[in-house]
Amino acid sequence: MLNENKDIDQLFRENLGDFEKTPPSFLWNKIQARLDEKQNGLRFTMVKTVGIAAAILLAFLAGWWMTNPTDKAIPQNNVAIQNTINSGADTSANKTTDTVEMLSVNANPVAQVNSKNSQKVDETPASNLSALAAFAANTSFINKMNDKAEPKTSELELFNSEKEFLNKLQSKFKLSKKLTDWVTTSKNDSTTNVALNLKSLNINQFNNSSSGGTTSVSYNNPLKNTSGRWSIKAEIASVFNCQPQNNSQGSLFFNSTPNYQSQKTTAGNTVSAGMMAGYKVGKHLVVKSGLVYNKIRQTTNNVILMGANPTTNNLGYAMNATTPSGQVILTQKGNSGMNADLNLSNLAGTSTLYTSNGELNQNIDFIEIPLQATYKLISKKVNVGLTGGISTNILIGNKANLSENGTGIGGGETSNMRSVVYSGAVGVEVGYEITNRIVFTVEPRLKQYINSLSSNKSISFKPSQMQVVTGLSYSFN
Amino acid sequence: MINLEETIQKCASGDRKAQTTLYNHFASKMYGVCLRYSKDSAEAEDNLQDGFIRVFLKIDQFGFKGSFEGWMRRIMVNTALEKFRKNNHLFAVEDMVVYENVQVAEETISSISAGDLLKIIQELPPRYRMVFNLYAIEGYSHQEIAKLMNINEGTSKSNLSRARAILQKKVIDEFGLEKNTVTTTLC
Repeated sequence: MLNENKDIDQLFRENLGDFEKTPPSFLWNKIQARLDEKQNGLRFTMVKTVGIAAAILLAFLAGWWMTNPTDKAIPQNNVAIQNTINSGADTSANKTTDTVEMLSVNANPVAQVNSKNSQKVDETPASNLSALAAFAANTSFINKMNDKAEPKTSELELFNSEKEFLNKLQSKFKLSKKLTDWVTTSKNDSTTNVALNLKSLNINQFNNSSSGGTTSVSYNNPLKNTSGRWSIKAEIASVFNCQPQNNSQGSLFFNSTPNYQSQKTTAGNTVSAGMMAGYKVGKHLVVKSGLVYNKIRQTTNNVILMGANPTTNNLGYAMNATTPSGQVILTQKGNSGMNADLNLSNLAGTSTLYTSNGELNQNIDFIEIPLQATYKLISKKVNVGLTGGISTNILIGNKANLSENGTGIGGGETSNMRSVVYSGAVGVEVGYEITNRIVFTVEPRLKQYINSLSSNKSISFKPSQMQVVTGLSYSFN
Repeated sequence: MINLEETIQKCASGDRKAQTTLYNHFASKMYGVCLRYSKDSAEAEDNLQDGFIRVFLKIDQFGFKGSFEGWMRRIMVNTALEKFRKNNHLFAVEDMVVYENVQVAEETISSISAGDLLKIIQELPPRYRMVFNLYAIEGYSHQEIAKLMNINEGTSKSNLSRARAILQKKVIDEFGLEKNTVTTTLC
């Protein structure tokens, strides 16, 4: 029997409380990979958020443009007032009141929409102008009732500012200062009130008059005058990629193996296609956005290979190739038909560089979300516009294939590709109107990636593309 | 020796080099913690990975109040507990022989390695392993354990005593003891 005993808790606490053991070395690689994933995921979430925010903003702006035509647009295009004077008509105050009421009511749809802008004292909102213009037209009618010199049909008078209108009003009708003061103080209220007050004001004016007439007002609702603003366009493009042609590493090992030629990388031509939605924001300007599939291809001949660290994969023999767009990690695809020179098992785990006669194809696919603006220089049957824009490009595919004499022997991907890159583009769009709604377009466009496609800081992979974009656009309404 | 504060701040800004430094500094200790809470090294590796990911994602929330090692250790323990709660299924605990008033010889004890004890603790049913670790090694009270594991205090206590009993039995079985001191009961 022993005297000194330890209780079980203590036994474990003392032995295991500060127990340490070195974890396997691959764990840190796994943790790093997961951290990268999280960071990429975060980036993707951010891009998604920004995309959604941009879409909401675009929708809001579109709505705003539709419901708030520009200042000049209303008096010039949307309001037409004709006063027909019936000099011999009944002079009853009731009749004139009805007429003026109609003016007020017709001015209202704009007034309500714009009442939120009425804080801007210096800039007269369009609706105020239209209401005031309507009133001006009517006052010429009042003048006619009081006087006789005006023509039968008076045209709408336009004023660039409220002040100008008030000055005119004052000088023409010698209205009291009280009236102009009243209009000035009322402008911060909604125009509805202005219109109503104008109505009562007019009644007073008419009550003092001795002659009468009728006024007819035609007013085009601006909401109905936005036809042809929206359009959609399907486009397809031939893409000529212009990328670095040579890989400096090639010549290094060329000398020691004279039977092989030096490694050479060329950019391949591809096709892109997508759908765009356009919104006309002015007479000449169209803003477009949509989704476009875009591909970048590179081919490297006589590729130099190096055995990769076998821990990078357990599936087959692995190797690396270095291209201008980054390192490509490849694994073996089957054994059949493989040339002995390119048997990847010869390279497994070695750090020896090996020149081969294999061909390496790298394909990198993006979904592009462009935001473009087209300024129409000529808007006729054949129209010409300048296009410029920026795009967010989201990486959706990254594949590399190694082949020898047309037989695929290895596959993998280009490492360190960024999940999101940005690009800019400029082009000249020539369109031909097939019908009023359908336009066929051809657009030579130059696209340049703004940031490097590779996250490896020592690699600057910013391809530029020459595109010939053909499209068919359809305008709504 | 690393400048911990600076390393932590760099980690918070996503500096991979600092993250590597921090990992290298604490990985062994934290792996030790994870091993105690896991049934085998594979589970411990998973927990260590999850725990470190969490450490790096939350490191900007570390307020430099108290020990950073303690903070990390709590994250590792919580990671193990969460996984336990997620996979928490009722497990049958077979009746077992319990040795009461066991006294293990001092010489025997000194010959037991930490590795041996770890193996024994890893063989405990998961709930017992959690409770025993939390109580005996981490120093939590039954009240705290009940909260952490979403069980009641009584369960925590009975789990602890069963865990102790099993551990005792295994220590005795594997490392020997004086037969006279053993009484056998069924529970």
